[in-house]
Amino acid sequence: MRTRLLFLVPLLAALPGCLIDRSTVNEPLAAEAVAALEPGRTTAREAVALLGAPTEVVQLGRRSAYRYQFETSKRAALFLVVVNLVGRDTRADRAWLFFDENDVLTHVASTYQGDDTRYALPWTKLHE
Amino acid sequence: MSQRIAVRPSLLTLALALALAPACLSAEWTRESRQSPPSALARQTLSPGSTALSDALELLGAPLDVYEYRQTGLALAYGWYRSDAKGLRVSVPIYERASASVDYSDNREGLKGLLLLFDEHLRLVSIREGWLADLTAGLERQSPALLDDVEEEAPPGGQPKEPR
Repeated sequence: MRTRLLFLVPLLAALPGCLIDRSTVNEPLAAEAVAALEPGRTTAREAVALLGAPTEVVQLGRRSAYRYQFETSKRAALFLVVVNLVGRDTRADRAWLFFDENDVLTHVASTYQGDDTRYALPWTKLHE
Repeated sequence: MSQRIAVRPSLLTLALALALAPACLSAEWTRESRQSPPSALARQTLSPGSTALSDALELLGAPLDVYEYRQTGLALAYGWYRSDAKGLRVSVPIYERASASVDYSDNREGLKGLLLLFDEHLRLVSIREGWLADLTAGLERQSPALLDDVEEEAPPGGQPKEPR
C-alpha cells in the first residue's frame, strides 16, 4: 500500500503540469479541388468559385498569385516543478495559384503537410 | 487510532524551497519544428539558366511566399525552422510585471530559407540560401490593383490602365 502511494502521489502531483494544445488557421485544403484546376484553362474567377476566397493575393507585375493556406500547430508540454519540457510542431497545407495578366491560371503548386503535425515532447525528433 | 507523522525540518525546508522555486528558477528544454526544408536532392536538381518555374514548383512544392522580382520576374521563398534549446532561467522581479505576446504564425525571424529568383520568362536565374528575413529584405510586395481603381483612373473613352 505504501509503495503504491509512493508512486501515485508524485504522479498525481505531476498531472496538473501536463499540457497539450492544438491551434489551426483556416480550413484544410481540398486536394481534389486543387487537382481539378487546369493551367491554361481555369480562370481566377473559376478558381475562387472552386476553392473559395484566398488567404492572400499578391501582384507580380502584370501577373498575380493567390495563396491558399491551412496551418496547424500542436504543442505538448510537461511542467515538473522547476523543469519545463515543451515541444511544438507546426505544419501547413499550402497552395499557390499563378495567373497571367488575363487572369488565366498558368501554374499551380501545392504542399499538404497539415496532417503530419504531431504532439511530441522535446526528446522526440520530428520530420527528420 | 491516530498516527502522527514526524516531518524532519530539513525535509520541510526542501519542500518549501521546491514549492517556491518555480517562481524564480526554471530549467527549460524546448524543441520546435516548423515546416520542412526542401530535400537536398531537389535543391541539387535546380539549375540557374535552365530550370523553369514549373519544374521548380514540381520539385519543391508550394513556397512559403512569393514576391515580385525586378518588376517582370518573381521570387519564390521557402522557409523552415528547427530549434532545440535547453536553458536555465532565473528571474527576479524588480518592478511591476509586464506581459508580451508574439503571433507565431507571422513571425519569420529565425526561419532558414531558400530563395529562387526567376526572370520575366520564368526561368531560374539565381538561388540563394540563408536566413529568410535577410533573403527577402529587398524584395517588393505589392497589393493587387483593384478593378474599381483601374476603371476610375481610365481616361474618358480610353482603355483602363494596366494593373501595376
